Amino acid sequence: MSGRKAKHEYTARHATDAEVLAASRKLTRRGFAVAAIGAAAGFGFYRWVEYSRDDGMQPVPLRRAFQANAALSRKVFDERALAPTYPASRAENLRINGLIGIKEAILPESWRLQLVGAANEKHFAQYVPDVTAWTYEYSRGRESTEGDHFTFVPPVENQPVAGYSKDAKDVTMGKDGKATESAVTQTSNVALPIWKQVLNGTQIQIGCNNIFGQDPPTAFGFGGNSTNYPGFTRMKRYNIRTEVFINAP
Amino acid sequence: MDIGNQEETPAAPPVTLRLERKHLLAIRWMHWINFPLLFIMILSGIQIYWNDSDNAHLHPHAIYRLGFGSLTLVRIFPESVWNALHIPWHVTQGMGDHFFFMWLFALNGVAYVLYSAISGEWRFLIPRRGSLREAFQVMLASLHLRRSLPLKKKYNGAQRIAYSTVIAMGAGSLITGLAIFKPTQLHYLTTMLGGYEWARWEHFWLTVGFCLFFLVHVVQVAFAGWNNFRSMVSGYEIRPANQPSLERERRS
Repeated sequence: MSGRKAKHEYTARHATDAEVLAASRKLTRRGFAVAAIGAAAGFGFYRWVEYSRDDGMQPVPLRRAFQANAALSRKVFDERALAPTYPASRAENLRINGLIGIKEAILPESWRLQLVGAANEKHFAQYVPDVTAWTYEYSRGRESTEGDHFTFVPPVENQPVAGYSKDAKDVTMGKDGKATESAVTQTSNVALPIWKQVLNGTQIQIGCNNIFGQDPPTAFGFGGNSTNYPGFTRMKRYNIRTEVFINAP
Repeated sequence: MDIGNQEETPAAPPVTLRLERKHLLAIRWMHWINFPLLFIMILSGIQIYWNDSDNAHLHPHAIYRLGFGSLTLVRIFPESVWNALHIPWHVTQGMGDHFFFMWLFALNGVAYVLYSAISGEWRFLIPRRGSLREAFQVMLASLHLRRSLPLKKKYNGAQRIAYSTVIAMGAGSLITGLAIFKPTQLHYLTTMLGGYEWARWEHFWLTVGFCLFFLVHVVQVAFAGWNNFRSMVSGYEIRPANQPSLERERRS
């Protein structure tokens, strides 16, 4: 509406310069009034987004956006498509996302990686309703994770371990002939980057649902299938056990 | 439209001014909507980037720095800047904002490009032959090394180049952002951009480009004066009656 009409109205001939200026003033008032309303509305919208009720530490509109983005990704991308693979030689140091909750070296056997985000994830054998319920074990017991949670304290050895304490000359011997290392020396001896320590002994399971697009064969068994039936037969499961690096002779 | 108007009664004073419709309504809306959106995208991006820069010993500023190879000249943002902007510990807010407002930013940008294409306004914006030379003249004039500006159409050569570039940069931000957002699913795209880390680098430096554009833009608008600024709000500019009409240029 406004485009054509306004153009006609305001770029039509004006008899005097004063008329031009008057028309301009009217347009300016109108423009800035609309702009003020628009700015207020925009600011109100922003406030509504930022100060909405929280859902999992995100305001509800932002949480909805996360969910919508995820749902859209599932629709757009083929879940069964394989991710590109690269030779291990091209791997670089993995990025540490954060050490919150990891005050000490975790016992690698107690570490678990759960892959989530697949459609119908409860179907998968690996599905754990609450992964935070998993109990991790630490090399020197659990300590408080309050405070400077980015301070990673490497474990203090009781005994030097071959391939772990780096240099034999760093291992000082006590009077009883046993190794006594100061914590400082040992700290400097922890030669492995943290990501290797974290990943040591990691078991990564990668599952793919119904890869051949066929119905599963009927499973017969006394008392049924011990694993989640159809998971057992429908799933092509790859177990990759990564024996990562440390404690290896 | 005949502006000259020689048929007035002789008693009337000569009309020396006229109103020129400079910016179309939709363009003005999209311009001003983009301003806070881009601001939010940059701020939330910095909030995300802070988390990458924290724990520098774990991931020592591989991306966000000025340097060559292993030599780093400047690591962007010292601690004082973070604190002054209240950036630290806002990564969750930053990600929430970034992945929400990215849709509005993208939609607004796509709408702008479509509208410009359909309405024909793109003709004002696209650099033409001679735009580069004209841009150089504008630069000299801005630096007071040259007296007068070249003849003004809607946009001069410098503006055509700058505005077209910033639109292309917006597209670049969307594309590099996608490559970072879904690097596994869109690995062809990510690879085409040089890999994940390069895509991050490109995304970041495009943002630095936006900031530089913003600075120059604001300074130039300030120098251009109220009449020009007002036209981006009201749509109309007061011009000398004898200047060539934009409507004519628009329709040609």
